[in-house]
Amino acid sequence: MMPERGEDSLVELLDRLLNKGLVLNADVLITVAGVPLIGLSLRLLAAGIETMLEYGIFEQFDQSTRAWALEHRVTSPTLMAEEEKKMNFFGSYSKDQGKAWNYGYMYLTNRRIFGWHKAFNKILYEIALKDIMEVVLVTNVHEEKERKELRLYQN
Amino acid sequence: MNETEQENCLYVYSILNTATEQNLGTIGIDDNPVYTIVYKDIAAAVHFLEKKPEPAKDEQQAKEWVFTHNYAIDKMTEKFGTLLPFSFGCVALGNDETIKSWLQKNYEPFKSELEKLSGTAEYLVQIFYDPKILAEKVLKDSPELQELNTKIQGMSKGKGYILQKQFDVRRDQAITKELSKLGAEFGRAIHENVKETIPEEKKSNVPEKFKGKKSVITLSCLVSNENVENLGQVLEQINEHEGFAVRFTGPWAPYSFIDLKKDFEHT
Repeated sequence: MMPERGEDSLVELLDRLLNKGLVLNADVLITVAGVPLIGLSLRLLAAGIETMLEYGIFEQFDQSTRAWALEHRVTSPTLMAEEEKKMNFFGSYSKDQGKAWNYGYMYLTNRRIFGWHKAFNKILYEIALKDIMEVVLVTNVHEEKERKELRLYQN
Repeated sequence: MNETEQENCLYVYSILNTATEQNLGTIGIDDNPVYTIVYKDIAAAVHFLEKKPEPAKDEQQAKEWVFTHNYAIDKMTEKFGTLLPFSFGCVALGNDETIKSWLQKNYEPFKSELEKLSGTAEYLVQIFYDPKILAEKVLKDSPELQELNTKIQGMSKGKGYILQKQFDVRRDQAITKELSKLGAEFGRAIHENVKETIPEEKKSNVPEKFKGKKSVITLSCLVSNENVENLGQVLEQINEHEGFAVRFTGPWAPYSFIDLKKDFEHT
């Protein structure tokens, strides 16, 4: 039989071009641009994974990506010097008197109250405790359910 | 170095055997002209980029790039013989001089790798079996399994349950035994015709044609050009074995067989 390179060998081709072959060593390399240049779906195909559900995307195929993610994953917000966390919880907040609610991790420290977006490591809002003029607990109706809302007024 | 110079990049396709600087035509990604940067008797094939490449705008474009990269590698292989192919998307910051001094620095490992791979290409061999056919075969060959099977036929489903389990286990053991026996046989025949093999560890691609079959083994093989025909004949024989099927793909540039890691670690 003769070797073939037919229509059905796309996966083998991708596997070779994306996962194997030579790469530049660090002193000259600026980028092995495979991931950013061609996107995830082709990488998955090259990894022999037919659907993203088949494995958790990072479980099996891209050790380096996983290592990177682990190394860079942030699990808590950066606090200021001498700042201490008093409590935190997942919740929603609104900056425009209840017109639009957003979700995030709420933190109360000895210095401030703030919301934190875990995936982007971003402070969503913050209020220094010393700026809070008034705290009111109100009962409100949200999506046809009663719930308590804490209102903070700052100067 | 001024701002604009700093942005300049080279997209690298391969390291190949030539002592001549030359233009290889507009075979590069997005029709870029590919040319060689020479140090002694080896060269890097590159195309010039004014700045860092942007990601593909969609999957169609990404695929075109990957195919073009491979097409360029094929064209160069035709012209220069076996080469060291680069992964898709390797971009070096700098100019021809940067590449030249990099070639100089790594000349020894590049040269010896080119020599090692000279006159070879990479092929992929996948061997499949049909579990149904193999199950029939082991039953035919084993009086013990036949006896067990006859007993079960004469029993009610409930009574036969334990025996059925026993039968399944023994049949699977017989299949495994048969597979490893034939596998070793096939392996020997293949190894006689290849320089090196690497078993693929991850789940291998099973094309439509082979659906319903199971993979026995998937091997990346480095094969000398003069042995390809022999290997083809060996695979033909395996393919004709009852219950087995072979997929033979290639040739590819030796993507799986470049081993320079140890030489690179200290540079």
